[in-house]
Amino acid sequence: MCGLCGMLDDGRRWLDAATLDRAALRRERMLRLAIVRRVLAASRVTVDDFEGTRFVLRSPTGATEIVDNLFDLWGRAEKLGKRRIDPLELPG
Amino acid sequence: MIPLHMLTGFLGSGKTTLLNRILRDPAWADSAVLINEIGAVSIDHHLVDRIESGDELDVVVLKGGCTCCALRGDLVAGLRELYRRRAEGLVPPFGRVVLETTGLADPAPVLFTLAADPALRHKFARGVVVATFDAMHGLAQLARHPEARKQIAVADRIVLTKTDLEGADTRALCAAVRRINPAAAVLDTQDAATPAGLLEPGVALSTGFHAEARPDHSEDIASVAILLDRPLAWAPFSVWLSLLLHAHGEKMLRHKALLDVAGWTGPVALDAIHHLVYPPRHLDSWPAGPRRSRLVFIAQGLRVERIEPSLRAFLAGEYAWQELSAVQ
Repeated sequence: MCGLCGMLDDGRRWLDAATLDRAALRRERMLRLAIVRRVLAASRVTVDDFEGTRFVLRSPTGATEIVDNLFDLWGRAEKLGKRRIDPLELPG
Repeated sequence: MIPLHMLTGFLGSGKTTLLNRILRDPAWADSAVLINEIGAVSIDHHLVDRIESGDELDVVVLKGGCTCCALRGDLVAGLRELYRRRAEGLVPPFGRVVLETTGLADPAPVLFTLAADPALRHKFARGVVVATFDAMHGLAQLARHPEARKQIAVADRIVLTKTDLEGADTRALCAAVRRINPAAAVLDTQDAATPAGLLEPGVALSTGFHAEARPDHSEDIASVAILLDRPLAWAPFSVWLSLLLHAHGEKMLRHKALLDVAGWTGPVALDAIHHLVYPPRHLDSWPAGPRRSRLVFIAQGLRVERIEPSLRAFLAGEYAWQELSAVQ
């Protein structure tokens, strides 16, 4: 693994850093989850919150995966949905 | 946390000369220096006169050349060794580290190494990335060498060197580097009151942002600058950015932003290199000018003109937070 790939598992704390108190963090998380659901709709992959810390992904065939964060989520969702997700190609 | 500043720049662009000047500043007497070179012969560190005449233990020479993985291992070992010596009192308790990279080095893996190593990330903080740019040969180097373009693309500050020589066209040099990196501050080494000030922390984006920057398709590195007049919602923005970096992080050399986030009075500064996003910093006040979000993306091999429509669609289209707030 090269230096670039090695960093794929890092740099995540920023996602929660813009909000500080617990209630605000939860609201942001739920909002984020709703947005992710819309992004994944075309892939027919569903996503749910898992104990407020992780996400559960389900493929159209029922395969399930638990991921720790958004960075892991996108890669796993692409595999489960067999479809690449590119924000530069999403419909507006 | 000890800041680690990186001094990069193409071969012969004046890195060591600048480093010497910086180290002569009494305020920077407590600096440790790391030098990364190609090959096993450590030439450059003999030129760092302050170190030669002072405590040689302050210098750890990295011999990894410019292969990113080798450099990474050497950097980890070098920094751990420096920290150990400091902790054991074998070297003075230095307050900062300056890393001078080889002229062919890609700065990004160094920054990744610093953030990824479980021991180093709690001891050293990323400082400022400064790239030297040769007024006489820089334009030709930019045209011929992708390494030179990448060093300029990743830098926080770009220092024009040898501008006192006849024929140096400072305006053309500034334009050339800003086409690659509109977010960096460009400084003339002749104008700097104190060379050490070049490495002082600051928000480069507040002074170095150039909204007139446009993608330059003649270059493999292109940048786009985006201005948003309305406060942006953090949730859709963070989802969008995580998705953008997931899909195109390898091509994204640098992303910098000063954001007007809904619900916050002060600006939020964001800084990313490839997939690595540093924790946002909450700043106390806005720079001069209208209060609005400013974002710069510098990428290699990516059609950067597609970034702004994508972001605007995400913030205002079917992913808009106002519509989705009903789910709470």
